[in-house]
Amino acid sequence: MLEVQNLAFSRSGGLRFHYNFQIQPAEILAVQGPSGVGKTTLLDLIAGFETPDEGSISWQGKAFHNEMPWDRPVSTVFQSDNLFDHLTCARNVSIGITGTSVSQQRLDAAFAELGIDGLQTRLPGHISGGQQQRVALARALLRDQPVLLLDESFSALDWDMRTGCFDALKALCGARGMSVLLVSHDNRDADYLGCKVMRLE
Amino acid sequence: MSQSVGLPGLPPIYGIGAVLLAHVFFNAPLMMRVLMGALSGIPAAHWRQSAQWGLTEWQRFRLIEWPALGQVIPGLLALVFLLCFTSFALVLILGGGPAVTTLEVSIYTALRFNFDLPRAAQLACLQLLICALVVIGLTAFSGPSWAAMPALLQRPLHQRGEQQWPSRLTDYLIITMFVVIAVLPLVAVIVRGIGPHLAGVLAWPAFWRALTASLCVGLASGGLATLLAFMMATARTRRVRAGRSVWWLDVAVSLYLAVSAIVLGTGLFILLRPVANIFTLAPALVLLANMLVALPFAYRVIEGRMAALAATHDRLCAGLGIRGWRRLRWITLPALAPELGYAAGLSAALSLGDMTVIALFGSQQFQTLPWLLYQTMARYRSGEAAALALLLLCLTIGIFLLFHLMSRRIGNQPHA
Repeated sequence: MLEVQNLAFSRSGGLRFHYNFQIQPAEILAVQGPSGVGKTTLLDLIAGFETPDEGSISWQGKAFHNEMPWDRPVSTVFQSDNLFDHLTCARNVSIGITGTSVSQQRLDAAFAELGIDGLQTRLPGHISGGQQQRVALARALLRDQPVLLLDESFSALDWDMRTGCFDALKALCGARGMSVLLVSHDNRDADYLGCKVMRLE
Repeated sequence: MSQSVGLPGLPPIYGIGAVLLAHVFFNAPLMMRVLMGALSGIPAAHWRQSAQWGLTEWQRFRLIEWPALGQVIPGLLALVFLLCFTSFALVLILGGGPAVTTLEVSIYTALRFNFDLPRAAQLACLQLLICALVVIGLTAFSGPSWAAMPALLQRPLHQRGEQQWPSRLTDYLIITMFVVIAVLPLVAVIVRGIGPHLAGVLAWPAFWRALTASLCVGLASGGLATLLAFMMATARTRRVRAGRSVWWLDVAVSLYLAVSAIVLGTGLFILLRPVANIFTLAPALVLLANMLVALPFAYRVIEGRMAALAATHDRLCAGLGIRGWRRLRWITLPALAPELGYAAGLSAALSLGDMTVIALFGSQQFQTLPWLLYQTMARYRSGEAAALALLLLCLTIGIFLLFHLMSRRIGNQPHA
C-alpha cells in the first residue's frame, strides 16, 4: 500500500500544501482540482523531485521520502518530454530498466499490448504524440515498480486512444498489483477507469 | 581582391581603408549569423498572428523583429568591437607600416623586434583592461548566444506585402550585397590560388612541414578546447542543478575573450623566457594559447545546449536512475554530438587560421601555414602566397566541415 501521511510542502510565496491518503495495491486514484492546487507537486514529492517539509511517504510500510529519486519504488509518465529524441523507442524503453536486462520478447509484448508494435526502431520525433506517451507507458510498466505516477500523461490524446491506454493500464495494474496515481483534469477519465477520486482544493 | 577583379578606382590594398574594409568582410557573416539566430528565435505563433492580422512590414519590424534584434545588438556591437580591437593579422598584413598600427601590433613589435619586455607588458595590460571592460559590458546583455548553432528554418508563411516587388527587390539587393561582401574575398583567393604556382607550392618541403604543424596544432587545440569547454559546461550544469551560483564561472569564461592571443602570448613569453628556450617550447605554447583563445567560443556553443538538455532530461534521468557514465554515454554525448562537433570544428578552424600566437613563437624550425603564408607575402611572392591561401582556405573549411558533418551524422543516427 502507498501511504502518504501528513505530507506538507511550502512553495515560495507562502503557498502550503498538505496531503494525506492511501492507495491499495491494484488500485487507481485520480487526483483532480483546479490549476495551482498542488497536483503535480504531489507527484514530484512522491517521485523525489521535491523535498517535503514534513510527513512521510511509504510503500508497504517502508518509508522512502528520504531516498533519491532513482532508489524509490516509483515510475512516472510526465505530460510531455518522456523520451530521449536521439534514442529509438525500444532503447528509450530498455534504458529505463536498470539492474536487469529486458528481453526482446518482453519488450515486443509490451509494445503489442499498448498498440505500438512496429515502432521499436523508430525515433520519437517520427511518431505521434499519442504513440510517444504509450512508449513512455510501456517503459513505466516494464520497470516493474509498484507505484505508477501519471501526470496528465494522456490528456493530449483523443478519447479513443486514451481509453485504449486506460484499458491496458487497468489490466496491467490489476495483474501486477500496482498503485496508480493519476493526475487528470478530465472527469471522464476517472469515470471510465471506475476509480476513486481525490479532489484537491 | 582589387587586383583579382581588375577594377580600376578601388582603394589601395594597404592602409586604413583596407584595414577597415577587411574587418567589415570579416565580421559581417558573424553579425548576420547572430541576427538570424535572434530572428529565428521568435515564436512561430507571433509570425502566424502577424499574418492573420495583416501587419505591414513596418509594423512587423517594430512589433516582432525589433524586440528580438534589440536584445542582441548591444552585445553584438561590443563583441565586434572586441574582435576588431584585438585584430592582429589583418592589421599586420594590410596596415602597410607604422602609420596604421594597433595595440596588438605594437605589443608584437615591442616583443619580437625591440625586445622591450616592460613596454610589451605595459601595452598588454592596457589592452587587457580595455577588453575586460568591454567583456563585462558584453556579459550584461543576455539574449541568444553569439556562438550558437544556426537555427533551423521554420515552415514558410506568407506575410502581407512581402510578395510585392519593392520588398522582393530590396531583399535581392541586400542579399546580393552581403554575398559580395562575404564571398568575393574567398573567390579572389580561389581565382588567384588556382594557377601555375599551386603545383610549385605543393612541392615545397616547407609547405608540408607547415601543414603538419598546422594540422597538429589545429586538431589538438580544437579537441582540447572542446573537452575543456564540455567539462566546464558540465560543472556549470551541476552547480545550477544544486542551486549554487554560476555567475562567476560565466564571467571567468567571458574574460577569456578579453585575453587576446597576443596578451596571452606575451604573458607566456615573459614568464618562460628566463627559464626556457621559448622557441623549443613553441609547439606546446602555440597549442596552449590557441586552445585558450578558442575556449570561450567552444564553451558558448556547448553550454547553452547542455543547459537546455538538462532542463528536459534531469527529471527523466533521475526518475529512471540513469546516472554517471550511463547518462554520459547514452544521453548526454549523443544528444550533444552536433554541438560538440561544431565546437571542435570552430576551435580547430580558429587555431588553423591563427596568425597571432605563431607570430610570437614561430621560427624557421616551427612554422604553421598562416605564418608561412605571411612570410611568403613578405617576400612579395604573391603567386605562391595566393596558392598557399587557397590551400589554407580548403584545409580550414575541410576540417570544420569534417567535424561538423560527422557529429551531425552521429547526432542524427538512431541509437538503438
